[in-house]
Amino acid sequence: MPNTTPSAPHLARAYHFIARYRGAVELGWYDFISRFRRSYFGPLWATFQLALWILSLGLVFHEALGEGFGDYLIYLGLGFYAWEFLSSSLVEGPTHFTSQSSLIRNVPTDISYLTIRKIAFLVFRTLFQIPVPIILIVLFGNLISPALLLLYVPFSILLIFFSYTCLVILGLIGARIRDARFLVPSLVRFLFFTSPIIWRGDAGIRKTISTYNPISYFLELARAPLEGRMPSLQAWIIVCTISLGGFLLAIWMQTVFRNRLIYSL
Amino acid sequence: MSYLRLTSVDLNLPVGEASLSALFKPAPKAASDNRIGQRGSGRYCKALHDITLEIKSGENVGLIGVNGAGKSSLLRVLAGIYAPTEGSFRSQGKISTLFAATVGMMDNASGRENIFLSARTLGLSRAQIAAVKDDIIEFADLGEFIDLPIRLYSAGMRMRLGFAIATAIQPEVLLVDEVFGAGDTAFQQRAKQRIFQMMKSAGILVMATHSDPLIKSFCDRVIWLHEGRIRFDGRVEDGLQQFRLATRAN
Repeated sequence: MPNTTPSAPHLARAYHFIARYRGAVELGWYDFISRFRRSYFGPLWATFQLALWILSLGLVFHEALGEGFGDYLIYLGLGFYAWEFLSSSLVEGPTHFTSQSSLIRNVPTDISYLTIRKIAFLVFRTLFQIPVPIILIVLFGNLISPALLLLYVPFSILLIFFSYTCLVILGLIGARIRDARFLVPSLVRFLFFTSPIIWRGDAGIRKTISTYNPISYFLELARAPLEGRMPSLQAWIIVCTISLGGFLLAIWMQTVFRNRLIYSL
Repeated sequence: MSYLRLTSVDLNLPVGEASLSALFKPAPKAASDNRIGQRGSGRYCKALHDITLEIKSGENVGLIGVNGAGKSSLLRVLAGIYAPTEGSFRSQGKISTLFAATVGMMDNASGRENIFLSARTLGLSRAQIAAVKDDIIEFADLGEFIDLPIRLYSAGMRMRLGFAIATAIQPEVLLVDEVFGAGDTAFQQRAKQRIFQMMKSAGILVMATHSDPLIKSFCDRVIWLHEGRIRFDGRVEDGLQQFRLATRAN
Protein backbone atom coordinates (compact mmCIF):
# COMPACT_ATOMS: atom_id res chain seq x y z
CA MET A 1 0.00 0.00 0.00
CA PRO A 2 1.40 3.41 -0.86
CA ASN A 3 1.67 6.03 1.84
CA THR A 4 -1.09 8.52 1.29
CA THR A 5 -1.79 11.65 3.18
CA PRO A 6 -5.30 13.01 3.61
CA SER A 7 -4.25 16.21 1.89
CA ALA A 8 -3.66 14.41 -1.41
CA PRO A 9 -6.58 12.04 -1.83
CA HIS A 10 -6.84 12.76 -5.55
CA LEU A 11 -3.20 11.93 -6.13
CA ALA A 12 -3.59 8.75 -4.13
CA ARG A 13 -6.64 7.80 -6.13
CA ALA A 14 -4.85 8.52 -9.39
CA TYR A 15 -1.90 6.43 -8.22
CA HIS A 16 -4.21 3.50 -7.38
CA PHE A 17 -5.96 3.84 -10.72
CA ILE A 18 -2.71 3.75 -12.67
CA ALA A 19 -1.21 0.95 -10.60
CA ARG A 20 -4.35 -1.11 -11.07
CA TYR A 21 -4.65 -0.72 -14.81
CA ARG A 22 -0.95 -0.90 -15.60
CA GLY A 23 -1.34 -4.65 -15.48
CA ALA A 24 -4.12 -4.47 -18.07
CA VAL A 25 -1.89 -2.48 -20.41
CA GLU A 26 0.95 -4.97 -19.98
CA LEU A 27 -1.39 -7.84 -20.74
CA GLY A 28 -2.64 -5.95 -23.81
CA TRP A 29 0.95 -5.71 -25.03
CA TYR A 30 1.37 -9.43 -24.41
CA ASP A 31 -1.83 -10.20 -26.35
CA PHE A 32 -0.46 -8.15 -29.22
CA ILE A 33 2.99 -9.69 -29.48
CA SER A 34 1.80 -13.21 -28.80
CA ARG A 35 -0.17 -13.13 -32.05
CA PHE A 36 3.11 -13.05 -33.91
CA ARG A 37 4.86 -15.73 -31.90
CA ARG A 38 7.13 -17.93 -34.00
CA SER A 39 6.98 -15.60 -37.01
CA TYR A 40 10.20 -14.04 -38.35
CA PHE A 41 8.99 -10.45 -38.59
CA GLY A 42 6.88 -10.49 -35.43
CA PRO A 43 4.72 -7.42 -34.79
CA LEU A 44 6.13 -5.75 -37.90
CA TRP A 45 3.48 -7.76 -39.72
CA ALA A 46 0.93 -5.28 -38.39
CA THR A 47 2.86 -2.58 -40.27
CA PHE A 48 3.35 -4.62 -43.45
CA GLN A 49 -0.29 -5.66 -43.62
CA LEU A 50 -1.51 -2.07 -43.46
CA ALA A 51 1.12 -0.87 -45.93
CA LEU A 52 0.19 -3.57 -48.44
CA TRP A 53 -3.50 -2.82 -48.12
CA ILE A 54 -3.01 0.88 -48.69
CA LEU A 55 -0.63 0.32 -51.56
CA SER A 56 -2.93 -2.10 -53.35
CA LEU A 57 -6.02 0.08 -52.85
CA GLY A 58 -4.03 3.13 -53.95
CA LEU A 59 -2.75 1.48 -57.10
CA VAL A 60 -6.22 0.38 -58.14
CA PHE A 61 -8.26 3.42 -57.19
CA HIS A 62 -6.08 6.47 -57.89
CA GLU A 63 -6.56 6.04 -61.61
CA ALA A 64 -10.19 5.02 -61.41
CA LEU A 65 -10.92 8.16 -59.38
CA GLY A 66 -8.67 10.34 -61.54
CA GLU A 67 -6.39 11.43 -58.68
CA GLY A 68 -2.66 12.03 -58.46
CA PHE A 69 -0.91 8.98 -56.97
CA GLY A 70 0.90 10.78 -54.12
CA ASP A 71 -2.00 12.96 -52.98
CA TYR A 72 -4.40 10.07 -53.16
CA LEU A 73 -2.09 7.76 -51.20
CA ILE A 74 -1.89 10.29 -48.38
CA TYR A 75 -5.65 10.76 -48.37
CA LEU A 76 -6.27 7.01 -48.45
CA GLY A 77 -3.45 6.16 -46.04
CA LEU A 78 -4.52 8.54 -43.28
CA GLY A 79 -8.16 7.56 -43.65
CA PHE A 80 -7.45 3.86 -43.69
CA TYR A 81 -5.06 4.10 -40.75
CA ALA A 82 -7.79 5.66 -38.59
CA TRP A 83 -10.40 3.31 -40.02
CA GLU A 84 -8.37 0.29 -38.89
CA PHE A 85 -8.68 1.38 -35.27
CA LEU A 86 -12.35 2.38 -35.54
CA SER A 87 -13.42 -0.78 -37.33
CA SER A 88 -11.43 -3.08 -35.04
CA SER A 89 -13.13 -1.53 -32.01
CA LEU A 90 -16.51 -2.19 -33.62
CA VAL A 91 -15.76 -5.70 -34.87
CA GLU A 92 -14.12 -6.86 -31.63
CA GLY A 93 -17.06 -5.47 -29.63
CA PRO A 94 -19.65 -8.27 -29.83
CA THR A 95 -17.15 -10.98 -28.82
CA HIS A 96 -15.28 -8.84 -26.30
CA PHE A 97 -16.77 -10.55 -23.24
CA THR A 98 -17.72 -13.92 -24.71
CA SER A 99 -14.11 -14.55 -25.75
CA GLN A 100 -13.09 -14.03 -22.12
CA SER A 101 -15.82 -16.23 -20.70
CA SER A 102 -13.53 -18.72 -18.98
CA LEU A 103 -11.84 -15.89 -17.13
CA ILE A 104 -15.09 -14.17 -16.15
CA ARG A 105 -16.55 -17.47 -14.95
CA ASN A 106 -13.58 -18.46 -12.86
CA VAL A 107 -12.17 -15.29 -11.32
CA PRO A 108 -13.91 -12.18 -10.01
CA THR A 109 -13.26 -9.94 -13.01
CA ASP A 110 -13.46 -6.22 -13.50
CA ILE A 111 -15.13 -5.19 -16.77
CA SER A 112 -12.94 -2.08 -17.07
CA TYR A 113 -9.79 -4.14 -16.61
CA LEU A 114 -10.75 -6.48 -19.45
CA THR A 115 -11.70 -3.57 -21.66
CA ILE A 116 -8.53 -1.58 -21.03
CA ARG A 117 -6.56 -4.73 -21.85
CA LYS A 118 -8.30 -4.97 -25.24
CA ILE A 119 -7.90 -1.23 -25.92
CA ALA A 120 -4.19 -1.52 -25.08
CA PHE A 121 -3.97 -4.33 -27.62
CA LEU A 122 -5.59 -2.13 -30.29
CA VAL A 123 -3.44 0.87 -29.40
CA PHE A 124 -0.20 -1.12 -29.60
CA ARG A 125 -1.21 -2.43 -32.99
CA THR A 126 -1.99 1.12 -34.14
CA LEU A 127 1.36 2.37 -32.83
CA PHE A 128 3.15 -0.31 -34.81
CA GLN A 129 1.30 0.88 -37.90
CA ILE A 130 2.36 4.50 -37.46
CA PRO A 131 5.36 4.23 -39.85
CA VAL A 132 2.89 3.84 -42.72
CA PRO A 133 1.30 7.32 -42.55
CA ILE A 134 4.68 8.84 -41.61
CA ILE A 135 6.38 7.37 -44.69
CA LEU A 136 3.51 8.55 -46.87
CA ILE A 137 3.78 12.10 -45.52
CA VAL A 138 7.56 12.12 -45.94
CA LEU A 139 7.34 10.84 -49.50
CA PHE A 140 4.35 12.76 -50.79
CA GLY A 141 3.32 15.36 -48.22
CA ASN A 142 3.96 19.06 -47.70
CA LEU A 143 5.49 20.79 -44.71
CA ILE A 144 3.31 20.36 -41.66
CA SER A 145 2.77 22.83 -38.87
CA PRO A 146 3.77 21.29 -35.50
CA ALA A 147 0.92 23.18 -33.81
CA LEU A 148 -1.60 21.31 -35.91
CA LEU A 149 0.02 18.00 -34.98
CA LEU A 150 -0.86 18.69 -31.35
CA LEU A 151 -4.50 18.18 -32.33
CA TYR A 152 -3.76 14.46 -32.53
CA VAL A 153 -3.44 14.36 -28.74
CA PRO A 154 -7.11 15.12 -27.97
CA PHE A 155 -8.16 13.09 -30.99
CA SER A 156 -6.29 10.00 -29.75
CA ILE A 157 -7.92 10.36 -26.35
CA LEU A 158 -11.34 10.60 -28.01
CA LEU A 159 -10.54 7.46 -30.01
CA ILE A 160 -9.80 5.58 -26.79
CA PHE A 161 -13.15 6.66 -25.37
CA PHE A 162 -14.79 5.57 -28.61
CA SER A 163 -13.11 2.19 -28.40
CA TYR A 164 -14.24 1.74 -24.78
CA THR A 165 -17.78 2.61 -25.85
CA CYS A 166 -17.82 0.05 -28.66
CA LEU A 167 -16.25 -2.74 -26.64
CA VAL A 168 -18.47 -2.42 -23.58
CA ILE A 169 -21.81 -1.62 -25.23
CA LEU A 170 -21.44 -4.07 -28.12
CA GLY A 171 -19.80 -6.58 -25.76
CA LEU A 172 -22.78 -6.58 -23.40
CA ILE A 173 -25.24 -6.73 -26.29
CA GLY A 174 -23.18 -9.38 -28.06
CA ALA A 175 -23.13 -11.61 -24.99
CA ARG A 176 -26.91 -11.50 -24.72
CA ILE A 177 -27.79 -11.47 -28.41
CA ARG A 178 -25.43 -13.75 -30.27
CA ASP A 179 -26.55 -12.43 -33.65
CA ALA A 180 -24.53 -9.28 -33.01
CA ARG A 181 -21.25 -11.02 -33.80
CA PHE A 182 -22.53 -11.69 -37.31
CA LEU A 183 -24.42 -8.46 -37.77
CA VAL A 184 -21.70 -6.02 -36.67
CA PRO A 185 -18.96 -7.18 -39.07
CA SER A 186 -21.47 -6.98 -41.93
CA LEU A 187 -22.42 -3.47 -40.92
CA VAL A 188 -18.76 -2.52 -40.63
CA ARG A 189 -18.17 -3.71 -44.19
CA PHE A 190 -21.14 -1.58 -45.25
CA LEU A 191 -19.69 1.37 -43.32
CA PHE A 192 -16.34 0.94 -45.05
CA PHE A 193 -17.86 1.53 -48.44
CA THR A 194 -20.21 4.27 -47.28
CA SER A 195 -17.48 6.26 -45.54
CA PRO A 196 -15.11 8.60 -47.36
CA ILE A 197 -12.07 6.33 -47.03
CA ILE A 198 -11.43 5.39 -50.64
CA TRP A 199 -13.49 8.18 -52.17
CA ARG A 200 -13.81 11.88 -51.37
CA GLY A 201 -17.12 13.19 -50.06
CA ASP A 202 -16.90 16.43 -51.99
CA ALA A 203 -19.94 16.48 -54.25
CA GLY A 204 -23.32 14.99 -55.12
CA ILE A 205 -24.51 11.79 -53.49
CA ARG A 206 -21.07 11.23 -51.98
CA LYS A 207 -21.34 14.50 -50.10
CA THR A 208 -24.78 13.59 -48.78
CA ILE A 209 -23.61 10.17 -47.63
CA SER A 210 -20.56 11.51 -45.85
CA THR A 211 -22.57 14.27 -44.17
CA TYR A 212 -24.84 11.76 -42.48
CA ASN A 213 -22.18 9.15 -41.77
CA PRO A 214 -20.56 9.85 -38.38
CA ILE A 215 -17.40 7.98 -39.43
CA SER A 216 -16.57 10.79 -41.87
CA TYR A 217 -16.06 13.19 -38.95
CA PHE A 218 -13.57 10.83 -37.33
CA LEU A 219 -11.76 10.65 -40.67
CA GLU A 220 -11.81 14.43 -40.94
CA LEU A 221 -10.04 14.72 -37.57
CA ALA A 222 -7.55 12.06 -38.64
CA ARG A 223 -6.67 13.74 -41.92
CA ALA A 224 -6.99 17.49 -41.54
CA PRO A 225 -3.88 18.26 -39.38
CA LEU A 226 -1.58 16.26 -41.68
CA GLU A 227 -3.13 17.93 -44.70
CA GLY A 228 -2.17 21.24 -43.11
CA ARG A 229 -5.61 22.51 -42.18
CA MET A 230 -7.78 22.92 -39.10
CA PRO A 231 -10.52 20.27 -38.79
CA SER A 232 -14.02 21.71 -38.80
CA LEU A 233 -15.65 22.57 -35.49
CA GLN A 234 -18.60 20.41 -36.52
CA ALA A 235 -16.30 17.37 -36.70
CA TRP A 236 -14.99 18.05 -33.19
CA ILE A 237 -18.49 18.41 -31.80
CA ILE A 238 -19.79 15.23 -33.41
CA VAL A 239 -16.77 13.10 -32.47
CA CYS A 240 -16.79 14.44 -28.88
CA THR A 241 -20.50 13.74 -28.55
CA ILE A 242 -20.21 10.18 -29.85
CA SER A 243 -17.08 9.28 -27.91
CA LEU A 244 -17.80 10.94 -24.59
CA GLY A 245 -21.57 10.38 -24.67
CA GLY A 246 -20.99 6.78 -25.64
CA PHE A 247 -18.43 6.40 -22.87
CA LEU A 248 -20.90 7.63 -20.26
CA LEU A 249 -23.53 5.25 -21.61
CA ALA A 250 -20.99 2.41 -21.50
CA ILE A 251 -20.13 3.16 -17.87
CA TRP A 252 -23.82 3.24 -16.98
CA MET A 253 -24.45 -0.05 -18.81
CA GLN A 254 -21.50 -1.81 -17.22
CA THR A 255 -22.67 -0.73 -13.77
CA VAL A 256 -26.21 -1.91 -14.36
CA PHE A 257 -25.48 -5.15 -16.23
CA ARG A 258 -22.22 -6.15 -14.52
CA ASN A 259 -23.87 -8.83 -12.41
CA ARG A 260 -25.96 -10.17 -15.27
CA LEU A 261 -23.14 -10.43 -17.78
CA ILE A 262 -21.95 -13.79 -16.50
CA TYR A 263 -25.36 -15.40 -17.09
CA SER A 264 -25.13 -14.61 -20.79
CA LEU A 265 -21.72 -16.18 -21.30
CA MET B 1 -10.44 -11.63 10.54
CA SER B 2 -11.87 -13.09 7.38
CA TYR B 3 -15.37 -14.50 7.04
CA LEU B 4 -17.95 -15.52 4.45
CA ARG B 5 -21.59 -15.02 5.29
CA LEU B 6 -24.63 -15.97 3.23
CA THR B 7 -28.14 -15.10 4.36
CA SER B 8 -31.16 -16.74 2.67
CA VAL B 9 -29.41 -16.84 -0.65
CA ASP B 10 -31.25 -17.93 -3.78
CA LEU B 11 -29.44 -18.19 -7.07
CA ASN B 12 -31.37 -18.49 -10.31
CA LEU B 13 -29.38 -18.94 -13.48
CA PRO B 14 -31.18 -17.82 -16.64
CA VAL B 15 -31.16 -20.54 -19.30
CA GLY B 16 -30.85 -17.81 -21.93
CA GLU B 17 -32.25 -19.50 -25.02
CA ALA B 18 -32.11 -17.13 -27.93
CA SER B 19 -33.46 -18.39 -31.18
CA LEU B 20 -35.96 -17.08 -33.64
CA SER B 21 -38.09 -20.19 -33.37
CA ALA B 22 -38.27 -19.81 -29.57
CA LEU B 23 -40.19 -16.58 -30.10
CA PHE B 24 -42.99 -18.45 -31.84
CA LYS B 25 -43.09 -21.48 -29.59
CA PRO B 26 -45.62 -21.56 -26.79
CA ALA B 27 -43.96 -21.04 -23.43
CA PRO B 28 -42.79 -24.42 -22.15
CA LYS B 29 -44.84 -25.79 -19.31
CA ALA B 30 -43.28 -25.78 -15.89
CA ALA B 31 -41.13 -28.87 -16.06
CA SER B 32 -41.64 -31.74 -13.69
CA ASP B 33 -38.12 -31.15 -12.42
CA ASN B 34 -38.71 -28.48 -9.82
CA ARG B 35 -35.28 -26.94 -10.43
CA ILE B 36 -36.32 -25.34 -13.72
CA GLY B 37 -38.52 -22.29 -13.27
CA GLN B 38 -40.30 -19.97 -15.62
CA ARG B 39 -40.35 -16.20 -15.47
CA GLY B 40 -41.99 -14.30 -18.29
CA SER B 41 -40.80 -15.89 -21.51
CA GLY B 42 -37.50 -17.06 -20.06
CA ARG B 43 -36.62 -20.21 -18.18
CA TYR B 44 -34.17 -20.30 -15.36
CA CYS B 45 -32.38 -22.95 -13.34
CA LYS B 46 -32.69 -22.79 -9.57
CA ALA B 47 -29.07 -23.41 -8.71
CA LEU B 48 -29.25 -22.55 -5.02
CA HIS B 49 -32.18 -22.15 -2.68
CA ASP B 50 -32.35 -20.61 0.77
CA ILE B 51 -28.70 -20.98 1.68
CA THR B 52 -27.74 -19.51 5.01
CA LEU B 53 -24.28 -20.18 6.34
CA GLU B 54 -21.30 -18.56 7.91
CA ILE B 55 -17.70 -19.62 7.53
CA LYS B 56 -15.17 -18.09 9.89
CA SER B 57 -11.40 -17.76 9.96
CA GLY B 58 -9.62 -21.04 10.47
CA GLU B 59 -12.38 -23.23 9.07
CA ASN B 60 -11.70 -25.74 6.29
CA VAL B 61 -14.96 -26.60 4.64
CA GLY B 62 -15.61 -29.45 2.24
CA LEU B 63 -18.57 -29.17 -0.14
CA ILE B 64 -20.07 -32.50 -1.13
CA GLY B 65 -23.04 -33.55 -3.21
CA VAL B 66 -23.90 -35.36 -6.41
CA ASN B 67 -23.33 -33.72 -9.82
CA GLY B 68 -25.53 -30.67 -10.23
CA ALA B 69 -26.12 -30.28 -6.49
CA GLY B 70 -24.92 -26.65 -6.60
CA LYS B 71 -21.35 -26.98 -5.31
CA SER B 72 -19.72 -24.94 -8.05
CA SER B 73 -22.52 -22.37 -8.00
CA LEU B 74 -22.06 -21.91 -4.26
CA LEU B 75 -18.31 -21.48 -4.70
CA ARG B 76 -18.92 -18.85 -7.36
CA VAL B 77 -21.29 -16.96 -5.09
CA LEU B 78 -18.63 -17.07 -2.36
CA ALA B 79 -16.05 -15.78 -4.84
CA GLY B 80 -18.30 -12.85 -5.79
CA ILE B 81 -18.61 -14.09 -9.37
CA TYR B 82 -22.35 -14.79 -9.17
CA ALA B 83 -24.45 -12.17 -7.41
CA PRO B 84 -27.27 -13.84 -5.42
CA THR B 85 -30.73 -13.46 -6.96
CA GLU B 86 -32.20 -13.15 -3.46
CA GLY B 87 -30.61 -12.78 -0.06
CA SER B 88 -27.27 -11.31 0.81
CA PHE B 89 -23.61 -12.21 0.71
CA ARG B 90 -20.98 -10.54 2.86
CA SER B 91 -17.31 -11.34 3.01
CA GLN B 92 -14.05 -10.08 4.35
CA GLY B 93 -10.55 -11.11 3.38
CA LYS B 94 -8.65 -11.47 0.15
CA ILE B 95 -10.28 -14.25 -1.89
CA SER B 96 -8.33 -16.47 -4.23
CA THR B 97 -10.05 -18.97 -6.50
CA LEU B 98 -8.86 -22.22 -7.98
CA PHE B 99 -11.74 -23.19 -10.25
CA ALA B 100 -9.82 -23.75 -13.44
CA ALA B 101 -6.16 -24.62 -13.51
CA THR B 102 -5.02 -22.26 -16.22
CA VAL B 103 -6.83 -18.97 -15.70
CA GLY B 104 -5.40 -16.25 -17.89
CA MET B 105 -2.73 -18.51 -19.33
CA MET B 106 -1.74 -18.83 -22.98
CA ASP B 107 -1.06 -22.25 -24.43
CA ASN B 108 1.86 -21.12 -26.52
CA ALA B 109 3.63 -19.27 -23.73
CA SER B 110 6.09 -21.01 -21.40
CA GLY B 111 5.31 -21.84 -17.79
CA ARG B 112 7.54 -18.97 -16.71
CA GLU B 113 5.72 -16.46 -18.93
CA ASN B 114 2.39 -17.84 -17.80
CA ILE B 115 3.27 -17.18 -14.18
CA PHE B 116 3.46 -13.54 -15.15
CA LEU B 117 0.30 -13.63 -17.30
CA SER B 118 -1.82 -15.48 -14.80
CA ALA B 119 -0.59 -13.55 -11.77
CA ARG B 120 -1.12 -10.25 -13.58
CA THR B 121 -4.62 -11.35 -14.58
CA LEU B 122 -5.29 -12.22 -10.95
CA GLY B 123 -4.30 -8.68 -9.99
CA LEU B 124 -0.80 -9.15 -8.54
CA SER B 125 1.61 -6.26 -8.95
CA ARG B 126 5.00 -6.60 -10.62
CA ALA B 127 6.73 -6.36 -7.27
CA GLN B 128 4.52 -9.09 -5.82
CA ILE B 129 5.19 -11.33 -8.80
CA ALA B 130 8.93 -10.78 -8.53
CA ALA B 131 8.76 -11.67 -4.86
CA VAL B 132 6.88 -14.95 -5.32
CA LYS B 133 8.08 -16.11 -8.73
CA ASP B 134 10.83 -18.38 -7.44
CA ASP B 135 8.51 -19.81 -4.83
CA ILE B 136 5.92 -20.60 -7.54
CA ILE B 137 8.53 -22.31 -9.73
CA GLU B 138 9.85 -24.33 -6.83
CA PHE B 139 6.41 -25.32 -5.59
CA ALA B 140 5.08 -26.29 -9.03
CA ASP B 141 8.19 -28.46 -9.37
CA LEU B 142 8.05 -28.68 -13.15
CA GLY B 143 11.80 -28.96 -13.71
CA GLU B 144 12.83 -28.03 -17.22
CA PHE B 145 9.21 -27.90 -18.30
CA ILE B 146 8.90 -24.46 -16.74
CA ASP B 147 10.57 -23.03 -19.87
CA LEU B 148 8.42 -24.98 -22.33
CA PRO B 149 5.03 -23.93 -23.70
CA ILE B 150 2.23 -25.12 -21.45
CA ARG B 151 0.45 -26.81 -24.34
CA LEU B 152 2.96 -29.59 -23.71
CA TYR B 153 1.90 -29.93 -20.06
CA SER B 154 -0.27 -32.72 -18.71
CA ALA B 155 -3.47 -31.85 -16.82
CA GLY B 156 -1.65 -32.50 -13.55
CA MET B 157 1.23 -30.20 -14.44
CA ARG B 158 -1.12 -27.39 -15.39
CA MET B 159 -2.94 -27.82 -12.12
CA ARG B 160 0.32 -27.70 -10.17
CA LEU B 161 1.26 -24.43 -11.80
CA GLY B 162 -2.24 -22.99 -11.27
CA PHE B 163 -2.28 -24.06 -7.62
CA ALA B 164 1.19 -22.62 -7.03
CA ILE B 165 0.08 -19.25 -8.45
CA ALA B 166 -3.29 -19.14 -6.67
CA THR B 167 -1.67 -19.79 -3.30
CA ALA B 168 1.55 -17.85 -3.84
CA ILE B 169 0.30 -14.66 -2.25
CA GLN B 170 -1.19 -16.08 0.91
CA PRO B 171 -4.90 -15.65 0.31
CA GLU B 172 -7.13 -15.22 3.33
CA VAL B 173 -9.86 -17.21 1.62
CA LEU B 174 -9.09 -20.01 -0.82
CA LEU B 175 -11.93 -21.50 -2.86
CA VAL B 176 -11.11 -24.72 -4.69
CA ASP B 177 -13.26 -26.62 -7.17
CA GLU B 178 -12.47 -30.22 -8.01
CA VAL B 179 -9.03 -29.62 -9.43
CA PHE B 180 -7.03 -31.75 -7.04
CA GLY B 181 -7.87 -34.99 -8.77
CA ALA B 182 -5.25 -34.27 -11.39
CA GLY B 183 -2.27 -34.02 -9.05
CA ASP B 184 -0.11 -36.99 -8.06
CA THR B 185 0.28 -38.16 -4.47
CA ALA B 186 3.56 -36.33 -3.89
CA PHE B 187 1.98 -33.06 -5.04
CA GLN B 188 -1.09 -33.59 -2.91
CA GLN B 189 1.16 -33.92 0.12
CA ARG B 190 2.83 -30.61 -0.67
CA ALA B 191 -0.50 -28.94 -1.40
CA LYS B 192 -1.74 -30.16 1.94
CA GLN B 193 1.24 -28.66 3.74
CA ARG B 194 0.70 -25.39 1.95
CA ILE B 195 -2.94 -25.27 2.91
CA PHE B 196 -2.11 -26.05 6.53
CA GLN B 197 0.39 -23.22 6.45
CA MET B 198 -2.34 -20.97 5.11
CA MET B 199 -4.68 -22.07 7.88
CA LYS B 200 -2.12 -20.98 10.46
CA SER B 201 -2.50 -17.43 9.25
CA ALA B 202 -6.22 -17.75 10.01
CA GLY B 203 -7.43 -18.41 6.48
CA ILE B 204 -10.55 -20.05 5.14
CA LEU B 205 -10.58 -22.97 2.76
CA VAL B 206 -13.71 -24.06 0.91
CA MET B 207 -13.25 -27.05 -1.36
CA ALA B 208 -15.74 -28.86 -3.55
CA THR B 209 -14.77 -32.44 -4.25
CA HIS B 210 -16.01 -35.98 -4.71
CA SER B 211 -13.03 -37.45 -2.94
CA ASP B 212 -13.59 -38.61 0.64
CA PRO B 213 -9.87 -38.91 1.43
CA LEU B 214 -9.32 -35.31 0.34
CA ILE B 215 -12.16 -34.07 2.53
CA LYS B 216 -10.86 -36.11 5.44
CA SER B 217 -7.34 -34.81 5.13
CA PHE B 218 -8.14 -31.15 4.49
CA CYS B 219 -11.47 -30.34 6.12
CA ASP B 220 -12.92 -30.05 9.56
CA ARG B 221 -16.44 -29.19 8.45
CA VAL B 222 -18.55 -30.55 5.64
CA ILE B 223 -21.54 -29.07 3.84
CA TRP B 224 -23.68 -31.46 1.83
CA LEU B 225 -25.65 -29.81 -0.92
CA HIS B 226 -28.59 -31.51 -2.54
CA GLU B 227 -30.62 -29.95 -5.33
CA GLY B 228 -29.39 -26.50 -4.42
CA ARG B 229 -30.18 -26.75 -0.71
CA ILE B 230 -28.08 -27.52 2.32
CA ARG B 231 -28.84 -31.07 3.46
CA PHE B 232 -26.17 -31.28 6.14
CA ASP B 233 -23.72 -28.89 7.74
CA GLY B 234 -21.41 -30.18 10.44
CA ARG B 235 -18.66 -32.65 11.31
CA VAL B 236 -16.83 -34.40 8.50
CA GLU B 237 -17.43 -38.00 9.57
CA ASP B 238 -21.15 -37.50 10.14
CA GLY B 239 -21.62 -35.63 6.88
CA LEU B 240 -19.77 -38.18 4.78
CA GLN B 241 -21.60 -41.06 6.42
CA GLN B 242 -25.03 -39.55 5.86
CA PHE B 243 -24.16 -38.64 2.29
CA ARG B 244 -22.92 -42.14 1.56
CA LEU B 245 -26.03 -43.73 3.09
CA ALA B 246 -28.31 -41.49 1.05
CA THR B 247 -26.48 -42.08 -2.23
CA ARG B 248 -26.40 -45.83 -1.62
CA ALA B 249 -30.13 -45.84 -0.91
CA ASN B 250 -30.74 -44.21 -4.30
